Amino acid sequence: MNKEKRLSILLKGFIKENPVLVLILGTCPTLAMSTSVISALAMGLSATIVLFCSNVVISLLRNIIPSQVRIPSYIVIIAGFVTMVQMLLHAYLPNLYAMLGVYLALIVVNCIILGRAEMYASKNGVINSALDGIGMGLGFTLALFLMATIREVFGNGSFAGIEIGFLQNYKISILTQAPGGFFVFGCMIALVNKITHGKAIKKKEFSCSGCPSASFCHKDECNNTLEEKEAN
Amino acid sequence: MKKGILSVIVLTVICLVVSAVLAIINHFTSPIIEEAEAKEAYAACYELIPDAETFEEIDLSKTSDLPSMITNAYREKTGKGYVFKMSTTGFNSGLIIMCAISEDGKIINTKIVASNETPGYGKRLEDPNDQDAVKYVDSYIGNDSSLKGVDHLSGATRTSDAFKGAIVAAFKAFDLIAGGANNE
Repeated sequence: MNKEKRLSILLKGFIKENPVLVLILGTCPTLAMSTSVISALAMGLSATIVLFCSNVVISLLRNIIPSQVRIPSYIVIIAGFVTMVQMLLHAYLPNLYAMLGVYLALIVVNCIILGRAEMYASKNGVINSALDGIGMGLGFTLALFLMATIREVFGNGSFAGIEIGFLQNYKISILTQAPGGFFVFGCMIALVNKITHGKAIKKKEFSCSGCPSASFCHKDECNNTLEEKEAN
Repeated sequence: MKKGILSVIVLTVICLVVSAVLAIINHFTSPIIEEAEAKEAYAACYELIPDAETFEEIDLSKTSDLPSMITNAYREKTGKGYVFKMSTTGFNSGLIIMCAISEDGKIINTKIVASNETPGYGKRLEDPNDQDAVKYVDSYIGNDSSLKGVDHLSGATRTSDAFKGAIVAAFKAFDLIAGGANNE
């Protein structure tokens, strides 16, 4: 595979297939951890590490794990990496560990990680999966960082905990609350759609083929995808 | 049938390998975590009772009916008071509060050790520049278990209610551990 293609695998997570703003995955940690820039960066980088490691391991084991137990196997592997990150943060960066709170453990059920394991790492080689993990992780971090910047600067009058003097009297406190989070989230999705002129990946391109529930779902497109899969 | 057995074996092996790796990492990180937590707790104790000499941790397993939010308790060895650590939920979980109570049952000082509260709302309780919040937290100092004159902080109602609940729990623990010795 040439270098350009590898670069595109790495970069697609930033805008074209941004996990948060285009694929609309990982909404819960995005809304919860984007009230401050520091916590957003910590959450983004922790998830990136887990995503990279789990993608590599799942890609390495893709021919060994039987399809019937693939989801429990992925969950065990992902939970293992999340617990490792949790232990290491608790031991060496306790402030960051306290800041992330329960959301650090919830990386286990972050749709981005399980989604990439199912949609990409289980079907592609180690290097491509690693690049996909880094790209998607950094895309997640970027989206979190941008959201947190808007919410912290305008909602709390500070950036990364440093107070911005002239904004102290003009804080829009609702931005630090859940409704403000949804508002900023919606605006950013609209902005990405505007920038990409709607050319970002469309939902139908990634939904059913990678969905673990496709066999139970009776939607027409799911049945078609399954039939196509079986035919291949 | 063969496929089913293979699935069980693969999943079991993955679980065992992951558990083994976690056990190794835990072996190296748990002493560091325990040491840091003990250091932090004792540092907070000295902050709450500045003229204290030495503290000893009280074994809570020997005390029954203790409020569930009490996680640790310390006694100042020269009789200057007790420090209680509580873990509760304000607007979000992870609200850790410490409270020092003198031998005669009066609050010496309180401190929020950790929280995940919302900036501008519950987080105000930790802001030394927020006059209303400082006044509210200070209203506890010198108070006894009746907590006379302590209400809640408007704009941070859930956090301040949780804070008050934690202090009430600290007094319950104080009564159980110190026998409410001189608390009238």
